[in-house]
Amino acid sequence: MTAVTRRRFLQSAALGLAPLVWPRWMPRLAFAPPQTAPRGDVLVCVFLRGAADVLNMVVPHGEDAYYRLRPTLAIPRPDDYAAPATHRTRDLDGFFGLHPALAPLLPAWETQHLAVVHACGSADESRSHFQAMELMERGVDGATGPASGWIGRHLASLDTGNTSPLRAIGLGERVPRLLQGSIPAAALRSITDFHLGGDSQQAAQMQAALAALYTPADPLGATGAGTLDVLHTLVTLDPARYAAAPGVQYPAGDFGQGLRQVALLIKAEVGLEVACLDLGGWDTHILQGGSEGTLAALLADLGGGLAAFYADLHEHHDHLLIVTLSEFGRRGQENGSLGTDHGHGSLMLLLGGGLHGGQVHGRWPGLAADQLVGPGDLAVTTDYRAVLSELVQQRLNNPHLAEVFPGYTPQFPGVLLPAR
Amino acid sequence: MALTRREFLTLGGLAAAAGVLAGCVPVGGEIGTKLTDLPSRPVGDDPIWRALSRLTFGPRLSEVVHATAIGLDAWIEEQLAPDQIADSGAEWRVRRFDTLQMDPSLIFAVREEAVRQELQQATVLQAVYSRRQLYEIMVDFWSDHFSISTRKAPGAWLKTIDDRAVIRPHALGQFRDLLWASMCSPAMLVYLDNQANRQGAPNENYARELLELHTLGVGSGYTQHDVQEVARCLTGWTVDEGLYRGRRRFAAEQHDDGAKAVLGQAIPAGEGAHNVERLCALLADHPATAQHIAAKLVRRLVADDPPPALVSAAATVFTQTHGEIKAVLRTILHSAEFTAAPPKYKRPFHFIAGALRQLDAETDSGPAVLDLLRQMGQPLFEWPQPDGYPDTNAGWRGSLLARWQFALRLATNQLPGTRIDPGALLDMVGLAHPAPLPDLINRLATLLLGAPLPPSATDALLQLWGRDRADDTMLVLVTAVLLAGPPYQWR
Repeated sequence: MTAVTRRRFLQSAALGLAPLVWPRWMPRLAFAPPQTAPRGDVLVCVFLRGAADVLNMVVPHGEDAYYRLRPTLAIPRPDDYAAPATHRTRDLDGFFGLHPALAPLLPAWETQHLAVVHACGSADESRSHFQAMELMERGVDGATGPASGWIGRHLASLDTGNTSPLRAIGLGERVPRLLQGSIPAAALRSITDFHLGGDSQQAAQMQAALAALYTPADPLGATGAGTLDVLHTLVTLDPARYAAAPGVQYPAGDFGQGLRQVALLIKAEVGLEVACLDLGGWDTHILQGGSEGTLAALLADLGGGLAAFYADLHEHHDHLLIVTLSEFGRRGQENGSLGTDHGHGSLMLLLGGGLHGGQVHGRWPGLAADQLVGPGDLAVTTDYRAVLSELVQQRLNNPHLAEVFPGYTPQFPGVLLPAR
Repeated sequence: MALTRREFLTLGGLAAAAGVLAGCVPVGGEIGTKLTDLPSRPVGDDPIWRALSRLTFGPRLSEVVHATAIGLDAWIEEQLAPDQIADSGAEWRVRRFDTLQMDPSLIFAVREEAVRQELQQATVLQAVYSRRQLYEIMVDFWSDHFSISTRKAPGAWLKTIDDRAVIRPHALGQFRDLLWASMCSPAMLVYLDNQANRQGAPNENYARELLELHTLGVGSGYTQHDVQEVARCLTGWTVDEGLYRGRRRFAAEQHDDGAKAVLGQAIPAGEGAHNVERLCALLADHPATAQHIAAKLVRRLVADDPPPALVSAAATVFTQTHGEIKAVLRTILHSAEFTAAPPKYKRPFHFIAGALRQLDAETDSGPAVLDLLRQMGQPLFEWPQPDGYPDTNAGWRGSLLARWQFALRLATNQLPGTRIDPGALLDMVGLAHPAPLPDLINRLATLLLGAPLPPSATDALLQLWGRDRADDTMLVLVTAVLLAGPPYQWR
């Protein structure tokens, strides 16, 4: 019994409430008892909207073609002493390296908690943001197939017995497509929205009355009590005064502050299983910059945010998994506006305790002219759903892959470890 | 039942009014109707209340009084003839939504989000203000049965046309006409990928759902071969792009015109566009379809686990009447199983519309209401699967927070675009300030739940609040707590 439920219990006991007797038409046990299946990792899914330039994110510095395709935008080699040290690629494995703005993620790489799956993505060749994002969120090949999101189907096909109103949340105005399905997910603009509304006295009076009415014998009792518990918990957790772990500084801005709220919810143990966050602005057709500039600022926000989040939750690493998605990559060759156009192959970053970290996974297709696809784009050698299927089965304890990714038969790429 | 003299006079007067002025009762409002117009009754067991809580989106007091006056059977017959019920209150409220009347040549010029919202708003307004409540309940039922998500392009535009051309004209008509209208609906054809269903490159999506969801039902004996044959019948039916965007078209060159066999029935070669007419008749008249539709109606109106005897009786009537929806409804609504029906968990739409109706709220059903409906998990016409929003208690095991937020915001008049009048509400339940708090709790409970709260619950609230007189603050709080409490979540 948590402190909160104990407090509510004492409150009711003090009132000396007799058990409520509802009219006989009221249901006694209308809901089937939830099946208990163990919960897997807390999943944090970050969608980089606008098609991130993955070639400048995890740089193939061992590939000469990269430097020929990107005469002005390329990130200098780790040993390019002509460039300032702060501008050079941070080497990972002698062939790939991180953009310097992602340097905050290096500690996780060194402890083997960070994995990259490069040249990864969707088979969709539309190069349309809207279509590609929709397909990736639905987890399907084309217009056909279910309209729900793959995370929504995961939640619906795995009953963890979790009645928390915060089982799945999307940070932002509305529930993202990823979470849509038969299980209600909450769009959370801010934790401060998670209250009854009204003035505080009205809300307190109403909560007290509902605590008296939603009794354990009621078929809605568990759901009602769960919701009241979260309300009580969040009242005591003022996000404005939330103190992250020592030394952790979340970046200002929606993304960093969103991660900070997710960290608060994870630590508060309110039943969070999935959180989805968006980071936009990656459609860098013009003046995207190299080691500094537009893209570097976005990467600093991403890397700084994820590194802070990961450090803040250091006690939760065994049960935490962060994954990034972006609808497609960008053209190999930089364009005439010092930017990059829509491309094909993308990448995924995975951060957590349950993976084969410190490695760049996936077959590297190369950047030579005959290795590029379409108008000169990085090929896709790993379907993003192969990684996600492995993630869903190994880390989220959900074996129902045919429901999560209907019509898709995965071959696990060996990125994730089986949950213990 | 012995009536007091006053009750007799009240009811007699109302019955006379109903007889003479059928169709002329004030629209929507509760003017003049008071709780004291109703006879008192044992806790929550009044058959009229129980019936109306399922056959309406939450009964308005005026409806309960009217049904009590003319009797349940007569009320049901009135509701089964919606054209005879004047409905100007709902009609003028939705008249301002231009997209509801637009055809494809115009509607695609409107922003997707605006089209989607107008249909949602109009649907909530009709549920709240229409006096043709059973008709609206059936519109809701068929909208799930022939579910189309406005989140799968171009559903946002085409669903509006489907609502107008498929669901509403036939909601209380013949099932075969309804099915045929749906099979001709561009929204349905595109939603289930039939534009990708061509000779030599079949797409079975629509064929499968047509059999599994719309007609025969899963496990009713059709085979994968039947699905493939139905898909062949449907080849070539596509929806135009470009200038004639959104119109259904038969592309003869994409149609597989060979001989087919569906469910053991031969379909000769060379029928072309007529294949689908034959298919519609075959599916609509199939005994498994009668069973499937009967079971779904009984599930919606009676119980999550439909009583088999009632399903069978309803299916027999379906077959005898060639799918006359009114006749099937009469069989269900006059059954002992309906009278003894166990409670069903209110779906969010029912919860919201009912609260607005029973408190006689004035609402525009705008973004504030739609946003909470979304948070409760039922943004209208956005269910991502083709099987429609769940119709069982287990399908709605989610958060109660959005319901509680709605309850408090509605009671405290903090929902932009929606207002309740506390003075009128107090008057409606026959009280005036300073009313005794127990009376207020019980009168409001009777208004919202059909009966007072059990004494133990009333006592718990009185102890908690430690007062015995009510003011406006207490009126608001009691209203919010009753809407948010366990009993109001059931119908």
